[in-house]
Amino acid sequence: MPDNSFEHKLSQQMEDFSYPASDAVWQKLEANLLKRKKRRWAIIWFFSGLVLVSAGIYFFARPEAPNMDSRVASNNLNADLSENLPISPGKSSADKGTESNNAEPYAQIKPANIAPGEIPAAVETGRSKSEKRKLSISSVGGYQNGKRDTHNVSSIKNAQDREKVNGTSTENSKETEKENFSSGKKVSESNNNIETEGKIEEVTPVLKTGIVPENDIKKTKTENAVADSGSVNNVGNNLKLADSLAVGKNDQKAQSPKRHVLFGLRFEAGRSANSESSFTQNKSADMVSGPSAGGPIVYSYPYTQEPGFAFSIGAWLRKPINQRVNVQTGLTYHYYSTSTPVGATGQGALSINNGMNDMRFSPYYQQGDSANYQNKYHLLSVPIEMSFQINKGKKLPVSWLLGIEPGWMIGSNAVFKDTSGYLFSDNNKYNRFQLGIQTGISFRFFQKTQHALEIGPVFQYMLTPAFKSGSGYDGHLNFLGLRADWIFR
Amino acid sequence: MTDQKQIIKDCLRGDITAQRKLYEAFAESMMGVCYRYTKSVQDAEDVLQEGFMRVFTHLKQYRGDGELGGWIRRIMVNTSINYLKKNIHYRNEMVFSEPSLHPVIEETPEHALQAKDIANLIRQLPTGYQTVFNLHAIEGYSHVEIGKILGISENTSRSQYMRARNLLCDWIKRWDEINKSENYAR
Repeated sequence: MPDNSFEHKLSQQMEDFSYPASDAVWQKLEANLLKRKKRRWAIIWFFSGLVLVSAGIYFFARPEAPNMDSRVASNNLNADLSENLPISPGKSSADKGTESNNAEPYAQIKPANIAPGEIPAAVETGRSKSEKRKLSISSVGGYQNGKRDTHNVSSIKNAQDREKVNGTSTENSKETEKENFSSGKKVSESNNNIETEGKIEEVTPVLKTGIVPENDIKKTKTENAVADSGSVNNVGNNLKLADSLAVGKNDQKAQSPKRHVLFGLRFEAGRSANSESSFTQNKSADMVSGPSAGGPIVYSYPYTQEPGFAFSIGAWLRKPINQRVNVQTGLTYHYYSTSTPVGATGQGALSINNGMNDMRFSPYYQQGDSANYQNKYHLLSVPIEMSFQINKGKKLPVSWLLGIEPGWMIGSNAVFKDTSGYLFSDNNKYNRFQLGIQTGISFRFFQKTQHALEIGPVFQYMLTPAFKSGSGYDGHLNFLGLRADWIFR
Repeated sequence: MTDQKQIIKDCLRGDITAQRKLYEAFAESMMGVCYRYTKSVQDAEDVLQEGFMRVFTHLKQYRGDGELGGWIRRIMVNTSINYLKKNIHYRNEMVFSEPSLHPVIEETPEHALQAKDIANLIRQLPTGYQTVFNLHAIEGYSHVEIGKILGISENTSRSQYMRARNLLCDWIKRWDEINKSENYAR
């Protein structure tokens, strides 16, 4: 075995061995530490933005809580019934329903202050169809959540309407009413669109008569349950009962909460480039700058950026304008990459005096094509897009997308070619603000599910050059790839 | 000691001044470590920079139960090994031949070489030898540990080490001759 004293002595000597490091090391280290700090903040801001957007979407686009509404509706209905009907107040609406389940469910239910000549909408057997419809319109409460529903009330908001409604009453209406109630059958009519005075108005389907189970009553929206004793007293008080009866199961579906703003997640993958427009491209870049006055031949390699991989992730909000047109906005992170042929890596740092102070760049590269340098671009953007459905089909809707995309380049390591012929990256040379345009086609799949998926090709082009003027390259970032939008209803 | 704790605290807060202080306190000695593992000063500086980035990133993992210098040194050694593995020039040179019979020099050469001279001699060794020698003779890793770090067998590590040691002893013995001949040449 060899003597260990050699190792021991060597180890002791090397323990104290030190070697001076150049200042460039700390400069590079400091730059990296600052970059990391900035990146950390960018990440924090990005995710904070995402959280805020998601929270906004949640509160903005969530459906109304049906239980609360139904409870209010139920309570109001009970209150109305107890006020207006000679039913013992100690009994629940269910009891009332059960009680009236026999021959005359609401035989005793006669509006207390029904005016002569007026008739509840529920009692219109034997009328012509148009009359029925008019009554149906008037029978719709016109109040929603304690507030006046201008949509429905529009048909009765003026005296003329009321007269028309009231004018249809007959003297023998009470008898008819009895007959009708005593039949115990549901005669529902679900005319949603009824023409009144030349207007098409949407009307909730009306149960002309019949037994209304408690569940149905509970599910009835307050717009039908709550009646006001004010301006439309005569009509309202008399009709509120009918209103409360006027909602069937179909109506529940019709009144199911609609989410007006959709939320989605976006993924894109494809090919990105930073290409010069054909107008500005310097075609002579790859010329060999020949020996001038017998000087050495200097080969000038062209500065190019070859396309590379790109992807994006983001979240968005979509607001339907009409059945075919949507507008949407959100927050998207883009990663673009390109590659540039470079020569050997320069030793140490490249020092360039910008007129005021020395700036050091490291790493830097000589021109050449012995290696490929990967330029990376990181962007955050707020795309504002419109989509137009170009076909009528509901199975596979196809949309054309068009949008603008203001963004911010949060970081890049892209190298550009200095007049010295060296290639290096300089944070001050990028155009941080980027304005882009985009277009594409999307095909929507799983349309009937809760999470539809839109997939299609997309093209984005940044109108702002990636580098500032004077950097010698007028390239614009662009992206061609596949986009997938995952929609959350 | 209290100062060091304060500096660490400030570094954890991301204070760039404190980070500079920490760097300046250890830069030269750690550069010595990196210098031994690489073939050029530029590479050593790259490793040093990368190593300090890791130090600042993982400083929260330093529990304070050992010497901070030792902890940073371990990071530098690991960074150096990773650098050698990643860098194509070193990777191509780090060829570990199968263990074979090798002459063992029993004697320990007496020398009056400076640390820098020895470091320079170590750097003259083939990369594989250099790495194994640094890890075993100076850092004190066992051959089993070296085998795990470099992905080689224990015997290969032992064999590489003995070859490196023999070469180094030979060079140290001939140091005076070499020096004299170099002086003569000048």
